[in-house]
Amino acid sequence: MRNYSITTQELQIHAGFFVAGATCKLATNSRVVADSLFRVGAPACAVSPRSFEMSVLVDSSIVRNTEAAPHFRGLHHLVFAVFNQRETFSFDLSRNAMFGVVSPETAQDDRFWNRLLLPIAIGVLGTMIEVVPFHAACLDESGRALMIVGPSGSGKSTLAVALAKRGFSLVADDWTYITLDSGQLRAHGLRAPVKLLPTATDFFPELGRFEPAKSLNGEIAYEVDAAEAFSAQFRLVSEPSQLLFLQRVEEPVCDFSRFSGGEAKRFFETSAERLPAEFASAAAKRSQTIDELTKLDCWLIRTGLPPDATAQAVRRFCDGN
Amino acid sequence: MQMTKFLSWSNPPDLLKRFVNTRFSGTFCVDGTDIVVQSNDATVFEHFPPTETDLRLNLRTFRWKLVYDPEGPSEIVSPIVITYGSVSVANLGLACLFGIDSERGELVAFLGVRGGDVAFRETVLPLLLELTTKALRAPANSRFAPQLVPADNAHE
Repeated sequence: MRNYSITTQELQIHAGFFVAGATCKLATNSRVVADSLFRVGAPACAVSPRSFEMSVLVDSSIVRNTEAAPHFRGLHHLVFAVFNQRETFSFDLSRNAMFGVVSPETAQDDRFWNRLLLPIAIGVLGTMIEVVPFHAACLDESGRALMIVGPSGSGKSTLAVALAKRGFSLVADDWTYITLDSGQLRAHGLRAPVKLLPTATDFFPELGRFEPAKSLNGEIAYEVDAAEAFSAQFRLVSEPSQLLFLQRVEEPVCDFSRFSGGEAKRFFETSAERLPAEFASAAAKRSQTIDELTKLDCWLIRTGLPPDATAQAVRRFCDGN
Repeated sequence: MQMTKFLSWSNPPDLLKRFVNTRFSGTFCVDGTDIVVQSNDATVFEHFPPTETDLRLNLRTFRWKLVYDPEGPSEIVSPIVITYGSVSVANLGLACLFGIDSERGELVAFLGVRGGDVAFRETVLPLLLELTTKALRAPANSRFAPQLVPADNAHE
């Protein structure tokens, strides 16, 4: 049996950084971890009202198996995540804290932190600290955000990249984190790599210089930095102004129609993760955020056009609005 | 108009398997504390230590929730136990994941083995009891809060 006790004596490097509208208070024994996380989040010199603790112990005796799929379970206030077979992170929802032990290889793997751990951390702890995760891409123009909502595989990321090539700034391609302060909504992104399926080379020849690889959920995909691959601009925060619900259709059309806020609300409520009863107040706050978000203009976009043509239609639609 | 057929209107997902029905329950005693157990697997109760004390005399209660998790890979490997403040987490590979919170008096576990399996009797249950005993004897709140320092000093 191997025992780890994560204490202040063990974790002597302390730092804070902003991520998705919250402050992550990091404690670790590894500068490499701090460096990896600083490449993802913005430095924080003050604690935001939304914060969580992240304690990371790096142990050279841990051997990681990158073939093993991540495994997640949760009961009551505790959520367990196992990565690479022997690397564990645990999340304590009642104390807004997470802690774990990783190998030196994982410590320096930026992809692990920005594509996997931070999205999971905000996904698990976000609702507790009033940072609500939405499965949506988000694009900014002049400080106003267009959120693109749709089921997995509907083409959110592809459309987001096509829009980023047409002058929008990319906030997020997959998960957008919403905060609500005194009625003010804000959309936050993580500046994570964009994930595109191998067929995306049909639309984006720029991908030719990258190699698709097994992504963290086992899919073969391109995971590329949109700034590097497409010269996309990033923006970490924006103000949501419109929601587009994306529906793929067979016909070569692209049309827009009003989508009721009530339906949008129902969609988000039913797709939000159920929380244990003890977190009813966090769930209620989440509902309040959903309620405010779905008061915005909501539209349904039905498209059977290629991403670039769809992006062009969205561009015209936004200009017209 | 059915504009939203393409969106799924399923019930909220339970991705973490939090809401498994644990309809079996029982109680035994460790260190003068009642351990109240809930599980979805009736066979876990077969190997609990015999209780000689009158349970009603115990003032303290500790709760266990044991979820048999058939989707968890069942190979058990040497445990890793991580303690952070009042919470200890153990994993025996993906097969068994435990979390124990001494401050809240709770243990939760996902078990890739059934109570009737030798691995439960010889490896899992002794570890559950060991962690519980440690939790019962743990000093009051030993948690710490990391100090936030400006980014410039992050590496000091």
